[in-house]
Amino acid sequence: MKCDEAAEFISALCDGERIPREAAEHVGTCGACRARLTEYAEMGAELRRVASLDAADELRPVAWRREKKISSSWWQKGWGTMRIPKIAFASMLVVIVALGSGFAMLKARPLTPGKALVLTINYPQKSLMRCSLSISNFKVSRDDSVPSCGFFTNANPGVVGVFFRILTTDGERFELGVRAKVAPTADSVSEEVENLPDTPYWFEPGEKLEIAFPGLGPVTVTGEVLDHMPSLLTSNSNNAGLDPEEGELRVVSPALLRGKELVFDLEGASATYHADGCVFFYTPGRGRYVLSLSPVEGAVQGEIRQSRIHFEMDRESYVLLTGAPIARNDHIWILHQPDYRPSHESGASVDSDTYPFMGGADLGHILGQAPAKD
Amino acid sequence: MADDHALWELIRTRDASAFDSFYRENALRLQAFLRQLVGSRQAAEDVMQETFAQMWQRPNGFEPNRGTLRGYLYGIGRKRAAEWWRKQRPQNSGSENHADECVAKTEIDSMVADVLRRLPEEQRTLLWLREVEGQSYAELAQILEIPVGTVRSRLFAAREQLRSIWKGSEQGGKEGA
Repeated sequence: MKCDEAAEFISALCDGERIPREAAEHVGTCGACRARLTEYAEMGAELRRVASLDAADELRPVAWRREKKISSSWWQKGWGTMRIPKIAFASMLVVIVALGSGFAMLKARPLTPGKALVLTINYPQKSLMRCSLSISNFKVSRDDSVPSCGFFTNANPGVVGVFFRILTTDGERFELGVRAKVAPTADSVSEEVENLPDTPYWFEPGEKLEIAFPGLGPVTVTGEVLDHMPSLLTSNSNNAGLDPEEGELRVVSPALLRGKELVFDLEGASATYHADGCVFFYTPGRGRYVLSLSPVEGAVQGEIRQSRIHFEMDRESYVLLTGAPIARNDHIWILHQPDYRPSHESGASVDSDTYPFMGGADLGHILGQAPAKD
Repeated sequence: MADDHALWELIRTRDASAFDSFYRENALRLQAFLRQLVGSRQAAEDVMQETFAQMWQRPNGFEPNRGTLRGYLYGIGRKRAAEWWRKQRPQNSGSENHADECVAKTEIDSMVADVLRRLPEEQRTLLWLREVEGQSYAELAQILEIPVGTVRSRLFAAREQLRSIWKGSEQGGKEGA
């Protein structure tokens, strides 16, 4: 055997591999091959020495939690297709309280391919919600896994949750399964709605469906069929485009950066609000951030640049990145409430302290809530 | 392998404690490997975090009967490092060898470290994972997505390339002295 032929086997020797007898005999007697073996071994040792020198000794601790996943799923499903997980109900309670004064909070990512039924729900106090159901992806069964969409609002007293899903189709008609429940808190709504049977209603897009809900009064449902699941729904059916309306504050799929550090990422969550409202985010350990197009005491002023908000807080630079233009205004106010915790008093459950959420609300209502202290 | 299967099941069922143990056991070594691919310590840490985050948030794709969990992890890391480069230099997306950038960022005064960074990415990966991490041919095949039988010949080629450049550097150093 020649040296060139033995060379690859020398490499294999370094890896602890057995080599053919002929190659082993050659390496045992050939000075050049033994030198190559030595060089390979030295290179390996030198690499390990360098690795030892360069080894980082501190590992940044990471909290491996499901919270982000759950939050994202909830909002995606909450206004798109929702299976009403109990944990998700617990996380939406602050939003529920906010609903009382014209709340507008909608979201639907394109979760499923194919056609979608978009429902517009007009309920008392001239409030309006929209949500979408996948037509191609619904199951013809009545188990809890059938995707739903719906909303919560104040029932005065208490909270009412209303959910829709498609049970069957017949030509262009849809049999909707509707579940609604009034309860003192959203926690109890979540539990009770899960155990409710569907009340079936036949519905045809283009026509109105009148339903009287307990605690809410008469609701009018209209709808249309789209050839896709919409990526964004707003409460204003006339403004489904990218450009926000005058006075509208719209936050889609936000992520907040402090310098280069990610403070939170609420991918899939969205909120809009009009007039004197605000959009807020809560993340465990970070407290609550409130965004308002009007000056707020204690808030810092930020600059809106299309789908980004730049601001300084505590001598650090922040950028809120979102998936769509935020407002027509040039300026926005950001209030950070680090001590804020969801509480039953604010309509939230203790459980929701574990999960991030966002929503839109009347500014006075949000500021009227005293932050909970540790 | 049996342990990998059990651990993977825990990760798939969102067992944060099990995943954290896996993270603590492998993160720094993965970071050291990624540093050979992306150059800077900070970038390596970022890519390492992204790698674990991807594994945690989207626990799919690992098949216990086709490789080890460690090999799967390093395979994801290598792909994330390639993505990192594409984001850094979109106009050079076809380039696999980022040696120049890496050399500029070297923080270790070592000839072999410098020489290593002049190798193509695949050879750098092979040598680091074999010599430093002690990964098996099967794991290397899994990470690089090449046949096991090819690993030996490519490792040989990588060693020869490293040896050639190293000897050239030594020669240059002696001539320059």
